Amino acid sequence: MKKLKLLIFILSIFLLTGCWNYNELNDLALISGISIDKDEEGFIVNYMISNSSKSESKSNSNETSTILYEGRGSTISKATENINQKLPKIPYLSHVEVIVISEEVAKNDMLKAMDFLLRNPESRKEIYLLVSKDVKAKDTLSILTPLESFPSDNIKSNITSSTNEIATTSTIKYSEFLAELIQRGIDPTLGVIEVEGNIERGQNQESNDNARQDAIIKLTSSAIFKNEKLVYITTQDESTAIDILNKKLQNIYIETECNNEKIVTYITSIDAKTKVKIENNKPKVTIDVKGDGSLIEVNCKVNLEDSKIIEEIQQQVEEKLKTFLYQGINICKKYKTDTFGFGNKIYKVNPKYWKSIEEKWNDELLPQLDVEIKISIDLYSKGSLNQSIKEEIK
Amino acid sequence: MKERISSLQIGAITWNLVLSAYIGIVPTILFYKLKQDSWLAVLLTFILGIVIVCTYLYIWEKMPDKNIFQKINCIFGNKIGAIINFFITITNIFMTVIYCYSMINFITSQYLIKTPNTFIIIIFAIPVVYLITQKLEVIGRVFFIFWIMSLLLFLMTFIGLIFQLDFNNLLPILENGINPVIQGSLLIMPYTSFILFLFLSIPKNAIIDKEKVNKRVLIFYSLAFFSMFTGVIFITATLSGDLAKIYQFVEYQVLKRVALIGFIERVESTLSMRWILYIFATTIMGLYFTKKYIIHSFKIKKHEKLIISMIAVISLLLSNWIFPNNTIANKIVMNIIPYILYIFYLLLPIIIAIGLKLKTKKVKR
Repeated sequence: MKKLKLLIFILSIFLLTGCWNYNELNDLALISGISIDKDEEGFIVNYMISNSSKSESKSNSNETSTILYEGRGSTISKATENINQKLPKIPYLSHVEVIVISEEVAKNDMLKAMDFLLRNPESRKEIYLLVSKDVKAKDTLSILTPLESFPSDNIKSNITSSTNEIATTSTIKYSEFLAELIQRGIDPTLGVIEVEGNIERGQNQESNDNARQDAIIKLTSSAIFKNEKLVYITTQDESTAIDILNKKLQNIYIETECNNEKIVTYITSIDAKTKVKIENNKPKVTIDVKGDGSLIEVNCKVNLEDSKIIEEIQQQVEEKLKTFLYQGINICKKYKTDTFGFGNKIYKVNPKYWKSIEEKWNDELLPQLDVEIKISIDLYSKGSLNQSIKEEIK
Repeated sequence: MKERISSLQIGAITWNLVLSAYIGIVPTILFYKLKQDSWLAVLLTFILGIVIVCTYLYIWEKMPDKNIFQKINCIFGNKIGAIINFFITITNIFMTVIYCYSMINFITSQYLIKTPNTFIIIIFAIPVVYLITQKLEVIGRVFFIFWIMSLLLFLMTFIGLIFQLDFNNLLPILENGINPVIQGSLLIMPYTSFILFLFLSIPKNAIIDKEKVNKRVLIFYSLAFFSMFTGVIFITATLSGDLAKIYQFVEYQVLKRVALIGFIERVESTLSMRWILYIFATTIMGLYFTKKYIIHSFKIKKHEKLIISMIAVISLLLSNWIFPNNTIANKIVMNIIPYILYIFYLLLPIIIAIGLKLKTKKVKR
């Protein structure tokens, strides 16, 4: 019996210390970015491999540290299989940070891309999802930058700073997009990525040696979807307005007029609360927007010690912000897409009423929807100066 | 030497048994049928389940020196009793197989994709076979350790998800009325409450502090349901009912979004660990039930360990072959098994409880 126990113990050491078919790190191709394009023949998928042998050898610092592998196929799975045939390592999807989808795919085949990634147990679903504008999706993954090791890291850093520091476009993760796609009465949006400059030169490592880069990637606007199809790519302002109303952005710069000059107010901690009421069997939306403002640039001669002047500036800022935000509402009404999830709010508050209007919501009711925006900005700071410089100069 | 177990260990077994269906079976049924109203079904199941648990406790109370097989023989006579005992044991083995199937399906579909099922079963079978050949006291201690471990893992999950909640996702409440909630509740009850029937294979006299056991079973039962309720609320509030419906192992997918204290990733593995502990406990209790049946019915005194080890291995291997695919498994789990369990784990215990009452009255007279 003792011998049997010893045998089981020894066997356990071999059986319990590792996984079946385990893979060494050296055998894996760590994929940090994926692009999905489409042409007449089918899908074109690119994997950005982060742990190429070049990235591991520090001696060749002039060489690019990532490699793109391209595959083609009638389905996304077939295209990835095509890549696998070319890859000397096993593709590993758990470290994917960014997926860029071309406009073409976003218009017609979004669900195919979603299903492929959702079904794959290796993917972590917390991946930034972007739509490429005016360029192929694969080009956005190939632009090199001196600030980050991998283009996917560069895109990720860009997304984070765009959301947290500068109000340009919001971050949409794969799981958030999916949630908006599946929920009733809400249409999803995605961030849009563009390449500025010469793409071919931007792909070369020499581009990073120059003080001015040959090509840069930038996040500028939002892609608006109706159900699962891309219908419109917004301007930067429209995108910011949409993201503020969706509580995805909290900061914005607002310019107001003052004696033919400008005053710039930086509004922070913006919070938008949306309420939906049913009045006379028609939905009415009220959005309360609150925020803290501080003057960051005053170019005109104005007495900032006068509380009436401050009140006037505050009112101007509120009016300007209101007009700014309405352009987001108007664009969604124009394209009949419920980016703000007003329908979803109606569904949650009054599901019976929602059932009665669900069919005609996007096409008939949404364009006619009564939306009121109420703004309340607390202008509390003037920066380090109490007065405008022009006011002090005699 | 007589087998002994403490009431606290029984409580720990309660926790593990109630939660064994929580990750694989309960969310699949609930979110598929009820979406954002799933938490109401959990609440209702808890309330209805208390009545069932009290029925089991009543059966336990009467003839405390006998296990359920002896009680059935006592009430129905030896012939009918033998048939009933056989069927409840077969149902129990079938349930053990289904729980193991759901766990193995989870493991092979979510992270050990390339590992053969049989290999996972063998790895799982080694500790199962070892523990089932041990005394009840050892099993009780192991389960108590499991309870502490799973409680800590549950707290990690709780903390990880608390910042992602959007309670608006719980709306609208009762979108399709109360009937689907009742139906959902009745469907998950066999998997969450009826499983405590397995206790009855332990005679109440085997419990060291038996005067505390009823109270402790109810406390641990409530704690387990609190854990389940919190999980379902958190899933709904994080994902929304619509999204929760499409995932196969929804809480696992939710936890993939979480990084504890901003940098500890792979929190979903804690859920996997918890579930393996629960299924391990349920498998052990299921096999203990079978072991007691074999000893009672066939009066086996020799090779008892060998026979139960073989049954354990066969049951676990069966879980690999029982369902050809997930779709069929889900259909059977939702549409067939609950009814079988209602017959053997609800209707039969009610009859037994009535029989025991009549029997004890006669004895008093």
